[in-house]
Amino acid sequence: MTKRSSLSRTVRALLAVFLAVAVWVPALGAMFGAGATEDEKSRRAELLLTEQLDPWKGGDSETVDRMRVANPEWDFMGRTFLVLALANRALSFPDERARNLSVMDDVINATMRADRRFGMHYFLLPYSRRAPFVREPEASMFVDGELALMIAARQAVEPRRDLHGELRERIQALVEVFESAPMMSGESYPDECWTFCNTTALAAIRLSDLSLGTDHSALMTRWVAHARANLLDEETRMLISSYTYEGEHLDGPEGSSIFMSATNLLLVDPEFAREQYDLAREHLAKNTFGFGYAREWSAAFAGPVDIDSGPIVPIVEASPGASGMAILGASAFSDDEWLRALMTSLDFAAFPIEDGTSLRYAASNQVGDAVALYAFSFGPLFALASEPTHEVIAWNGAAQ
Amino acid sequence: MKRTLIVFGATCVVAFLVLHVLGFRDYVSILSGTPGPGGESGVFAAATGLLYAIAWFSAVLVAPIVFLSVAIHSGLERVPDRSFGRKSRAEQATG
Repeated sequence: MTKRSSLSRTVRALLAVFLAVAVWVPALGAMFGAGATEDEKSRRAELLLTEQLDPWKGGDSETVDRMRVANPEWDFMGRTFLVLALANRALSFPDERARNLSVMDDVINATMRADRRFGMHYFLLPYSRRAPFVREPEASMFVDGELALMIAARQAVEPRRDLHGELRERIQALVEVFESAPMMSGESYPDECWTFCNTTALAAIRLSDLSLGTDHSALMTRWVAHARANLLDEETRMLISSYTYEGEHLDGPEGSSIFMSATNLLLVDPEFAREQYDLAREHLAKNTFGFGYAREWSAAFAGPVDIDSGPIVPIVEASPGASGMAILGASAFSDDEWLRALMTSLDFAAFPIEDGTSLRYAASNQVGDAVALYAFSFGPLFALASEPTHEVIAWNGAAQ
Repeated sequence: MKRTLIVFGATCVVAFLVLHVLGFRDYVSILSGTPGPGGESGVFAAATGLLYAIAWFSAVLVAPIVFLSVAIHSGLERVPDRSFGRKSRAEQATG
């Protein structure tokens, strides 16, 4: 075989492969293409919810047990996202309201009991005990912020008399941290503050204004001003993900944090929230032939791979953790184009198991599915809190 | 070579179908760091989950591209060699 004939065979072969890829990959994207319509989101939310409710109906606790083996945080976060999703659906679907409120109560009561009985470390990774918290008495913003958000959501939908005092105490404790800590932030782990957790706590405070009749808008304004001055990555201007109690930056902006942080900030400062989402979109969002995904780190910052990011897919640098949170962000900010692409990737690479009555993603876990559920049901709770005028329903059920 | 490629593609598809029928889909939870069914987190669970994922992507991504490549290549073989920088046999004979 001459050199030239070998070359023509090689060229033919490469061209054949190139054309095959160019035809098949977009076709695959079209085949798995998902609609990001309200009906489709609602359909998926309903199916996901059936699966999510199982452990709380005394059915399958194995799913939660399996998850706690990997990461006890996921057990806790799964509860938070489930409660928030139930709150949204209780507001959207009156026929589900009673059931959803009942499950919310089961989750909140069980979580408060576990918190009181076992302490905050029950929901934290083992390294929470390796060193003392800087602030005393020790408290985790991760646990306190999300628990407050769960209770605030419950009270916003339909207040429980017995939770009014509980919520007020928890909110006062959070506000005290924000007002007195040097970085206006609380630790989630010893000398580690996370924007994910602190923005969640701020969202809880803002949401609690509905049922407590309070107004923390001044605190929100001060926090945002402080964040702009101290918590933004120099290059991308996105919120960093973690920092010490005194303000030393630890990790830069990460996908598994920023989309949730931006979503939380919708209740704090919608303009700042939109800025953060748009920046995350710019630096972390990808869309290849209709398959959407998110990077964990921007091109400018090579951060570590951890349990929250999940295994990074090489070459494309896709992070399952960041991509899951991106679905929430895309839904919250009505970014239908990217949401469609993300849902396409979800259907292709997350191994959905759907039987007509329930849905779960085999490559995910309970918390991952709970994030998807929250994303697909997102809207009514935050809309309620964002209304310029609303009735404040006090604990005694009387409108004020 | 084409026969080999077609057999390879078909093997990918069959392998996935076998693993799917055996019910190994749930083991892909290992990709999220979550133990498999029954709390299994050992080598078997990890290997099974990874194998299922590889089989899936091979069946829906690699195999179709292989089949299409073979088909397209067959079509390209009908294109004159001069298009790929090589004289045809007739041209070579006449110099």
